[in-house]
Amino acid sequence: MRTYEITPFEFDEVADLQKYDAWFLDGTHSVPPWTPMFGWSWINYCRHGMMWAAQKLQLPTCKGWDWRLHRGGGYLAVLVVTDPDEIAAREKVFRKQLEPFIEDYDKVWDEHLVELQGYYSTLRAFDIDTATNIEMLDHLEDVFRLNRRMWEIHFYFMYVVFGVYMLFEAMMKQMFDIDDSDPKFHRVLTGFDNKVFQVDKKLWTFGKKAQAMGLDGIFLNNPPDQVKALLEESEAGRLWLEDFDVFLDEDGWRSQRMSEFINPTWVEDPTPAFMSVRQFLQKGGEFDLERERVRLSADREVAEKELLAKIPEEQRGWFTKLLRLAQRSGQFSEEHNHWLDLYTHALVRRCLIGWGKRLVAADVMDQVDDVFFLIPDEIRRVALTPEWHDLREIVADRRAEWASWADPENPPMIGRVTLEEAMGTLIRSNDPVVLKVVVGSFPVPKPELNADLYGTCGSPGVAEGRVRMVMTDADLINVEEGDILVSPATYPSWTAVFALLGGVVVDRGASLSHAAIVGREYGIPVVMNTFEGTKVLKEGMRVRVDGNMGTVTILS
Amino acid sequence: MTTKWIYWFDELTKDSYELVGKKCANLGEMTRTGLPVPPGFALSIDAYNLFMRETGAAEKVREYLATDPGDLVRDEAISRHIREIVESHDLPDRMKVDVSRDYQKLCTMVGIPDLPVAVRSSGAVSMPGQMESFLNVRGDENVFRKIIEVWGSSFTHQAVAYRFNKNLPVESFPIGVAIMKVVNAKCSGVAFSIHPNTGDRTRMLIEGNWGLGEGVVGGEVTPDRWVVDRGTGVIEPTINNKFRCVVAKGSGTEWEEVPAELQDVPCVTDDEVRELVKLAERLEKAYGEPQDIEWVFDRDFILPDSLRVVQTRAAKIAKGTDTESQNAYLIELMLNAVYHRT
Repeated sequence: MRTYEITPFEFDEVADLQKYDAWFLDGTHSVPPWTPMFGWSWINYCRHGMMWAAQKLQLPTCKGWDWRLHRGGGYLAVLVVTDPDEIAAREKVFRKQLEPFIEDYDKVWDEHLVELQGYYSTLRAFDIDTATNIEMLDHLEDVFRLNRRMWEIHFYFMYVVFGVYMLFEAMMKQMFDIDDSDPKFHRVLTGFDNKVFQVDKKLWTFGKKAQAMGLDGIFLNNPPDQVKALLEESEAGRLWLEDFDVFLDEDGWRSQRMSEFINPTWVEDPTPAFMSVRQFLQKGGEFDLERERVRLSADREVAEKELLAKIPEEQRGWFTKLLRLAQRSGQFSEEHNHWLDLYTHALVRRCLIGWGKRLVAADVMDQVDDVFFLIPDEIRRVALTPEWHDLREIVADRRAEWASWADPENPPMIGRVTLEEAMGTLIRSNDPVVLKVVVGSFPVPKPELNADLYGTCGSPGVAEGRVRMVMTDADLINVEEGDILVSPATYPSWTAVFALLGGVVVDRGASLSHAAIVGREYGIPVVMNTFEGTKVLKEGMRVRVDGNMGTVTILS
Repeated sequence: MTTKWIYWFDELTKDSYELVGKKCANLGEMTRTGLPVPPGFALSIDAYNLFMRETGAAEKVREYLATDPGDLVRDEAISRHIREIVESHDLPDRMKVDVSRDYQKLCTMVGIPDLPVAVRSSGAVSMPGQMESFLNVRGDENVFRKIIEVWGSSFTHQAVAYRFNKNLPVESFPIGVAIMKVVNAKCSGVAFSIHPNTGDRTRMLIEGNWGLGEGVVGGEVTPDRWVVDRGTGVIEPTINNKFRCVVAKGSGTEWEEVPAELQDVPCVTDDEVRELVKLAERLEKAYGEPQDIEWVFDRDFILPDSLRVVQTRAAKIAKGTDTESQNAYLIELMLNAVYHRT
């Protein structure tokens, strides 16, 4: 059987550079390159979700982003609205669409969360082992329908919430001359309970429990992938695991790489969760996650009072409202990955693995994870009469191609204009997601600081420590107390490691990227958008990370 | 037809837009109300008609369009050809005499021979960004040329397609032209006659950077800021590191590094701050409400004449304390701060 292109959204060097000046690589999500199945899913549904949300909200100056797939990389172009009449018409609707968020944000969020949780519990209850192929085919459609809906909700909130955050930044700057590299800025936003924090807290509690049960040695002295077998050897270990399985069934619907299907979820393989437990144990006895949060929360209340005292009485109403919304936007930024991307992708993976097993059993292909080198149409094609098909050639072609995408790396931009001109277009979109996650502010080298790397502030503070290169989550095991983590970007399931770190340096990111948010919650400096941190810095170097100035200096 | 087709800004009001286009009418209104806008004059829409008729360009364009050359929206070659017809003609001699007389008068007024001027389009119907404007045009011959190019730019492909789509006449779109001194900007910025957002009427806020105004509103550089107590006149400065600014370059603008020795120096002197405070108070009084003013200091004049106003408008501040007006205000703020509505 012939190997088809993964999708009609493959990048076309000629046609795609006529309407658009430039395409930007989504380095946060598509490095290393996606498998064909994930690329297909992203290009279809993430793209749809953005356009849907931009349309639904009628964002005045942006209609979402167009996307192309190029060698497993997602490339984006922003659809800027320039006609003043059209902008004015969109603005009218946009005002109306903002109202429910401003009136009662929690109500809007809860409605959507309940909707998603409904799908999650139904899909989780689906018994993959006993289903017929017909039922499995329906299930395939169901998980992708969920994927599509998840992206709609994702951007419906993200566009509003990031817009609110930008407004809050602008007001803090105008009213108090405080920008987001100032610790005072973050003091009023941090210390809220949220899902990511709750999961961290549970893992921390499991560490405490392991300690009490005399099991901590197992975690600290063995590689995490052997922990499960070792725990099963003792009565205490089995008891601990029993509780842990309940936790996994509730919160284990996530894999280490958020934007992929090919990595196992914690439910399948809890090694990463054991790693987090180990990190909390390494952090030692005096560290208390809940006490830390209560401290941040008390700090925040003091900071809020100080801030409000500076504003005339009659202005406090709207400002308090904005502050509450900005706090919600911080919370959303942190926990949406758990509730949206990670959970949905885990359920899509569960279905695909089910199909993988069936297709291997039917002798259509050789390995379960070959399924990630197919696209849904190919599963549909063979689903009901697998014995008539053989997909090995397609899988072999696509695997070989996938392997070739790693080298050379995808370029950060493909275009017919300079990077500066293309950035100008991005900025004119006023798209909060572009500005807060994808582009960020560009580092300005300040030679007088005599630093080795210049980036932007993700989280304030200064720390010195040893460089720990973490290119994939497999490298997390090497992290020790006080290390400086250097990485292309960090991911939602890495949060526990922040408890150990002295500081973080990432190649790309903006003030609402994962590394920045978590760095602020854990109170450690984060320098982002260094572009070449992972190339310039080497394992074991001693460096100083200055989050306030956005610099990294090599000490030895 | 009238013989007068050049008007100095102080001869115009906001109601003159059918005569000289919107931009010139606004400049006229501001000049008449005593706002220090850069000095200059306007060519009326009649000037355009006169040029098109006397040179025969109008007839040639009509003849060309009568040949039904194809799809105006898709085929850029058509608009390019029309534009070439228009721009291939020179300004008729008697028009040259009149334009030169007033341009020379402007040079004499300012005291700079071959004064660099901006030659800007001024449409009677607003068509933002569709037509060209030129900065730093010097000398009679260049001024003549750029006037014709502004007229010709009513036939850019974008402009033709826009008129076609909006059902406006394609073959002619009369526009006015503004000819005004280019500000030789030392520094620029914004001034609020009231502290925006806190709504504190006892204080004023001024922000500024070296060079042109894009360097302040662009957000890339943290500008210097001055909070002024309107009662006591006490100035509280916050001087920031201004490593870049926007300057005029050729016929456009560009970002430029600020020399190291100027980066941390206040871009506005205390005397200039006081002049800004006076201006803001005057404007607030004239318009009856707090103002948001874009200003620039011109190196070619001495204080107080160096202070020029680019634009003034009502300052947006929070009103009302009930939930509904708070919500409405937040939405306003969001559109302004995030979507840069103007």
